[in-house]
Formats: sequence, C-alpha cells, structure tokens
Amino acid sequence: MISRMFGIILLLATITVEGAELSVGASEAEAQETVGCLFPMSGRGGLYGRDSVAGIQLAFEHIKAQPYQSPPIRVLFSDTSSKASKAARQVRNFVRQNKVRFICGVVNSSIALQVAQVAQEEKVFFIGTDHASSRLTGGEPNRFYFRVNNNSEQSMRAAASYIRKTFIKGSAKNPLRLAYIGPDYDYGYQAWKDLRLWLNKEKVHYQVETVLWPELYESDYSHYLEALLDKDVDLVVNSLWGGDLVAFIQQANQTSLFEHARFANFDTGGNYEVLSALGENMPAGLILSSRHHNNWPETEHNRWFVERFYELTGRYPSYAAEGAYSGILAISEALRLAGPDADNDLIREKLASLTLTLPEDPDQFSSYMNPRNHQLQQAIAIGETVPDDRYPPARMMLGNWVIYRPAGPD
Amino acid sequence: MHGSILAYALFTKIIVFRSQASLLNDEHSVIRHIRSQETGISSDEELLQTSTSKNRLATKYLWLSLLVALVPLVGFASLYDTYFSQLVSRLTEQQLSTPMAAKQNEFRVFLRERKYELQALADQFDNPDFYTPNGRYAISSELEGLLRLQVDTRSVYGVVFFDQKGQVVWTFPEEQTVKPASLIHMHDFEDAELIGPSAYSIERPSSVILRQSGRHESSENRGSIGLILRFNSLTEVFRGLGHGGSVRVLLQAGDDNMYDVVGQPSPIISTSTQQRTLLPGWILHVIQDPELVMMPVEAMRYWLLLLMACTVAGLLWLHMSISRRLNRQVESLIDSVEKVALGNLETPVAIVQGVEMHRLTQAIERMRLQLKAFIRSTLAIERQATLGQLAAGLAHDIRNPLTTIRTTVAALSRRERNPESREMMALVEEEIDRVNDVLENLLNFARPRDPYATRLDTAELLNSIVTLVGASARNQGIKLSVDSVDSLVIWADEGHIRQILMNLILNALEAMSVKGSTILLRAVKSANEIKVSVSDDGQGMPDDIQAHIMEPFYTTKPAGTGLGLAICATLAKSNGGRLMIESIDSSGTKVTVFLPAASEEEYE
Repeated sequence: MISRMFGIILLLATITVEGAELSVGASEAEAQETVGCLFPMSGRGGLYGRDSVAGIQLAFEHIKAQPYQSPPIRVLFSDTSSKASKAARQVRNFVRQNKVRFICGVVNSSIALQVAQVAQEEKVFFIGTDHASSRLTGGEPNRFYFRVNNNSEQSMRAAASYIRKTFIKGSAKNPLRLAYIGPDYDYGYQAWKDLRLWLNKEKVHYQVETVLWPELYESDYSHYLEALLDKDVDLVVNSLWGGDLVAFIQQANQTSLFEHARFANFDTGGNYEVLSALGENMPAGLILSSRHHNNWPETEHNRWFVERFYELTGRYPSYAAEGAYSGILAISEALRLAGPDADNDLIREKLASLTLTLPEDPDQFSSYMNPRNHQLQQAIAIGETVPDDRYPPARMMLGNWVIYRPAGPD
Repeated sequence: MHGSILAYALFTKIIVFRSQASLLNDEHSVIRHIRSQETGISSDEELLQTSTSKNRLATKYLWLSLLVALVPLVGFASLYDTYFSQLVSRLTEQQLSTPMAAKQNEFRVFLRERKYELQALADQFDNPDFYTPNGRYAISSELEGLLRLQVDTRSVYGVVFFDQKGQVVWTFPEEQTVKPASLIHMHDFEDAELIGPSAYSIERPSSVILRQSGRHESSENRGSIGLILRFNSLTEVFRGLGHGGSVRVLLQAGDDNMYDVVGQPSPIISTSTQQRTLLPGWILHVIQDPELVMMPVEAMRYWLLLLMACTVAGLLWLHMSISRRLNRQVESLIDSVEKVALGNLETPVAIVQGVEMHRLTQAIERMRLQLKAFIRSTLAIERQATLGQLAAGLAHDIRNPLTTIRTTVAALSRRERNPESREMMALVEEEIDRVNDVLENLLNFARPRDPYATRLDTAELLNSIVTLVGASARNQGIKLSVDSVDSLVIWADEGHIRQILMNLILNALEAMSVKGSTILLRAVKSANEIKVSVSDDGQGMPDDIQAHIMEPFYTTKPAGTGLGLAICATLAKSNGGRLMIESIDSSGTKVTVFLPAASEEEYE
C-alpha cells in the first residue's frame, strides 16, 4: 500500500503541466526530441489516455534502467476527445508550437487515418500505438507512419487459424455459419475484411448470415442482439472494443446469445479494461484476445510491467498502456541507434529495422518491425475466458491459450 | 243302468275335480295366465327397448345437459375471440399512429439538420475551383478543418464534391469513396436531394448522399456539395417503434428495398399494418409481425380452443359415463322388476350400488317378497276354500250315492249264488271303498276334524307306529329304528299325529323302493317345540320337485292323489305345528314335524 502511494506520488511528480498540456520525461531544455501524444483523455475512451500516460512513464523507467544511454525525450499529451478534427489540429499545433518530430498514440482508426495524413503533410513521424485498422499498413507504406501494436490483419490472421483449428465446421459441405458485428468506422470494416481474407487463405468455408454495423459509442444493442438471435449461426465475431464491448456483453447477458452461438472478439475483447469492467458479469467460454495480456506471457518483463503499473496507478493496465510504452521505447531506440543529428531518412531506416523486447513478447521472441509495411510483428495469444481472480476487479481472465507467432502458430 | 249313471256322475265329478285341482296346483299357472294377458304390453315394451337407446332418460339428459353446457361455452369463446382480435388490432393501430408521426418528423428533422450543415459547408466552399478534380488541393487548412469537423459527426461518413455535371470529383476523407452506380436513386427533400442508398454489401454499411439540389443557384455556377450519410442513422430513427418486439418496422428506402432498423435488407412485404410516406420514395412500414404479435394471440386462441375442446370432451365423457352407469343400473332394475312382473318371484332383485339406487332396489326386493307371500297366502286361502266346497259337494253328491251303492252291492252280493258274480261284486265293493278312502282323505284335507289334543309320549307313539309298519318295512328289507327319549311329551291329537307319521313313513318306504336301507324316527326337543322327524337314505328329491311337494294334488307317483303331504301339513297346522322337508337329490329326505311340547299342567 505504501509502495503504491509512493508510486502514485512519483508519477505525479514526473508529470508536469505546461500551460494546459501534460508532459513526461525530459524537460523542454534537456530534451533532444519532443514527442506529441494524442489520446482520448476524457469521455468513454478516457481510460485509454490515462493508461497510456502511465505506460509512457514506465517506458521512461525502463529506458533509464538500461545499461546504455538513450537520448532524452520529452513527451507532450493532448486530449483528442475522439475527434479527428481536433486531433489533426493538435498535430499541426505540436509541430508548429512544440517542434515535435514524433506523433504517437491515437486510439480511433478513423482519426488515425487523418492524423497520418496530416503527419505526412507536416513530415513528422506518427508512431501508432493503439489503433488497429490495417489500412494504414496495407499497400504502399506511409513513409512517416509506423505502428507498434498488432493491427487487425495480424489479429484476424491468427483468428482464422484459430477458427480452422477449433471449429468442426468449416468444410465445403458443412460451412461455418458466421455473423459479424463491428463498429461502423474504418476499424470495423478492415477487421471484417481481414477476417474474410484470412478465412479464405486458411480455406475455411463459411457462410455469412448477417453483418451488423452499430455506430461507435452505441448505447443500445438490443436490436443488434435480436438480429443476431434471429439467425442460426455457429460463431459471432465481434470487433467492438472498450466501453462498447462492455455494454454489448452486459446487454447480451440478458439474452441467450452466448448459448445461441460461440462468441469471439479476436483483437480487443481480452483487454483488461473489458475484463475488469465486467467483473463477475463476464461469461466464461468467450473466445477473446488482446494486444497485451496481464497474465500472459509469464515473463519477467511482463510481470514487472504489470506490477509496476499497479504500483503507480493502483490498477492493472489495459493494452493501451503497453502500446504507449512500446511507442516510446520504439522512438527512444530509433533515436539512440540513429544518433543525435540523424535526419528523417536515417530515423526511418532505424524504425523500419527496429527490434524491441516488449512485455507482450513470449520467451525467446522479440517484436520486430516489418520494413515493407512499417508494422511491428508480434506474437498473438488467443484464449477463452476462465475464472481467475488474481487481477481484481476482474473475475475472469483468459486461459486455454493458443499462441500464434508472426511466422505462424506454435 | 242306475249304476252306470252313478259311475258316470262320479267320473264327471272326478274330471271336474281334477281339472280344478290342476288349475290350483301351480301358482305359476296363475302367473302364466297373467303373463298371457300381458303379452301385448310386453311386445310393446320390447319394441321400445329395441327402438334405440336414444329415448332413454339418461341419454336424453346427456344430450340436453351437453347442449346447455356447450352452447354458452362456444358462444362465449367465439365472442371473446372476436373481441380480443379487434382489441389487439385497435390498440396496435392507436398505439402506432402517434409514434409513427413522431418518427416521421424525427426522420425529417435529422435530414433537415444535415441539410443545414450542408448549406453551411456550401457557403464556405464558394470557390468554383473546389469543384474540380484538383479541388482537394485547393482548399485551405481552415476549410480542411471544417471538413474534418463535419466528418467527426458519427452519422456523416464524409463529404463529396460534384462538378456542374453532377459527377463526383473528390471526397473527404479520400478513403470514403462514392461509386457512380450508387447515384441512381434520387429523391427530393425540400431543396436538396437524397441519393441512394448505396447497394447493400456485406463488406461495409450502406450510405446515402444528401446533396444540394441541382436547381440550386450556386450549383449551376460551380457544382455542388453533398454529405455522405450513414444509412443506418436513418434506419435507427425508427428503433423505438418496435413496441418491445410486437411489431416489425421496415424502411422502404429510395432504392425501393426494405431495410430493418439495423440496416439489414428485409424481404419486401406486400401488406403492412400501417405505412407513412417520409418523403417521396421513402416509406415507413410498420408490420404486425405474425410471428411476434399474432403468434401469442394465435397461441392464446389455440389454447382457448383446446381448452374448449377439452371441456367438451370432458363433459361428453362425464355425461356418457354417468349415462352409461345410470342406464346399467336402471336396466338392472327394470330387468328385476320385469321378472317380478312376469311372475318370477323367486329371483332376488340384483343389488345396485349408489345410495338412492340401493334404497330403490331394497324397496323393490321387499315388494317382491311381500308380493310373493301375498300371492301364496291368497292362493292357499282360495285353494282351501275351493277344496272345502269341493269336498262338501263330493260328500253330498258322491259319498251318499256311494253308500247306497255299497249297501246295495253288499245286499246283492249276499244273495248272489254265482261265485263269479259274487267275486265281481266284491271287487265293486273294494273299489267303492277305495273311492271312499279318497273322499275321506279329501275331506280330511279340506275340512280336517278339530284336533283333540292329549299328552303323547313320543317314544311310545313312535314305537307303536314302528310296530304297525315294521312288517312292511322288513318285507322291503328296510330297517326302521326309533331315537327318542321318554321324557318328550307333545300336546296334540293322537290320531292326527299318527296319520301324519304313518303317511311320512309310507312315503319313505315308497321312495326307498329303488334305493335306501334305513328309516330313522327321531324326536328331539327344541325350545317349546318337539321335532319329530322321519329320515330316510332313499333317492331324495331334486329342487324343482321339492319346491312343489307340499302343494295338494302334486305327485310324482303314477297312482298317487298328491294329497298325502298336503294333508300332513294341514293336520300339523291344525295341531299348532308345521312341517318342513329337507331333501338332497340321491341322498335321502328328512321330514320334520314341529309340534308343541306339552306343559306340566296340560292333561287329558
């Protein structure tokens, strides 16, 4: 308890408020580079911003503990309020007022698309830490965009393998009856597109019974639940996230959906934010995954990350914390490798060939950047909800793991 | 000649007597006579019985009570059904009309707000260069910010710019593409156009475009601007109309297809409960989904009908069961009563279960027994009276002439020298004596002389009788024995008792001509009576003979008069006693005479 209080005091001490903005890390005078991070700090997605700030604080602790010297970095935060217009304006402000060379964060994929566009225009690097739409890393790579969390294509590739391995149905004679419900914006579209792409590649035969598109931050899912219950389906794939997924599961608990069909959320469903928000209301047996798990892998690095985060904040981290942590480590490492006077091309080169050891990396594996699409390659763990009260207030955590490394499943 | 006339007269009397006696012989013959008179009625009854059971009271009761129960039930169910259907229909219509109007307004307000936003954008984007393929690069960062602000609205996917020909020149954000094929369904909305929706696809949700009208002044000069709207935001307007799932709400969009509230395409339904035009080409349909609304109503109706059918079946079963039981019981009673009516007074009335029916059968049984006793008593009295008259007539009409004949024949016989004639006359005398004996018996039966009671020691009495008939018994090889104690004394007429016992012993001897070896005379005391019995181990009697053996003129012997036992019974009765016969076919017969025991005070 005392150590937790100390941690919180330390966190507050290292976070300074400059004008209306938060900053972490080196002071303006000491900083070699300034990073402008965009997160929702208020409203339904506010937890993502708060966890990201704590994650970045841990990243600085981790950098400081390394035997080598890393360049001093100053991180500024800005609340996007989940608005693209505000985020775009903040990028320009960061560049023009704070001379930032790196933008990081952004939870919403649609906002990220616009932020990436502005960052490219402003010729600053955008290190994506939280959004997952594969559009930004598909096709020709954006020269100023790198992503350090799994994207929807990686998650859905693992999902297709999991479905092929787990479900009896999926043959030409006996196709898997599938329903999809995803948020009505780019992330939802891309996740669905990626899933179908990889189901086809995995030669899983499926039959789409319905596709539903509730808007982001929808509050009433009753009609969508009715529509799902109205169809005979084997698997409902859901790509809602955060508070939307919590609301959906809470409302689905009042129906027979989870008896009606298997339920899966392969990208964000296992986020600790969801597990803790639902507590005892999280049903067992849901197929979920996340970009980071507090109980997997059981490595020293992950244990330190989770416990230290808890000491600092009094709560366990959501995947946003590890995403932001990874983003700062990536920027720090690229700057260290490129040297103090490196130009954008050199930094891009170092970012494109980056290798990072992160809390979510299992033993004997390190995340690495794919230079062709600027997407970090990481292991993906898919599990089922099982009773586990080690991380309260969550009462269910993921278990029965199936692990997929970038080269393919274990 | 005179003798032949007398013989004829005697013969005639005997024939008359026989015929009368035969009539009196069997009470069944009387009943049979009654039955013959009832033959016409019986045949009518049989006709009624066979004319079907539907005229039975219980059956009539069954159908009538069913009718009374079912007609109101069916009527009630029909009325309730009609009332319920109309009520649901009226309530639904009333409940729907107001919210439908509200939703219509909400739909228009939604579009109107977007239209205002569109107009605001159009005012800002006033440079014709913006409406060219390179217009995206001509806008300032402030205008770009304006566009970003616009697409932050979750119901707006993007902004599209059209040239003067109405062709799409660019979109914002650029990944929000608009396919030319989706621009075919255009409908006016106030001074704007609603285009779409885009064709349904599983890949991503449909969109509609709200565009400045081509007739707009600015459009003619420079092109137009449109908002790419989330189609599901239009369908979601109607989510509240679902009435908790009781009705289905469908939006007939500009492409003439139907969509549900979550944007899923739905089969086109030809009829809907209510519909409302939202704007030209866009119609709101509210459908009472039979699976959602009528199913519970129909289910309730079917349950109601099933309940009614079960009630009918239950009533039918109950009534049929009661009717069958009543019919069975009444039938049993009728059978018993008919048997009595047809003269069968021997068969007891079958007992029927049930308090009332049991009482009824008991009453009928009592009636049968009383009727039986009454008929027997009446017959006995009539028979006795008839015999009395007959005997008096015989005494006067036959016995006196016979005495004359007997005297005359005796006189003639004494003077007759011819031995053959004398022998013939002796035979005539014997026959006349035999006729006299018959007449004597008849008179004894009809009008026995009054008893002259004395104290009779049973042992002495029985022994003296054995002495009298012992020789005859021995001749037949039959052992005659007495079992009596000295102290038993009866109070009766000695002559009568002797006659009774002699008759019984002679009957026994005759019955034992085929079978048997022992006759036992026994006297025992029982309360105030002394039972004097004559038992043999002869051939006994079957039940049908036993039932009539006490009746006068009933005999199984070819030369018998049938008066022996009847006289015995009459004599026993005149001495305050009675006669009882017990016989087992092929085993023997026991006749017991119950006589009053003499008290100490009684003396001769």
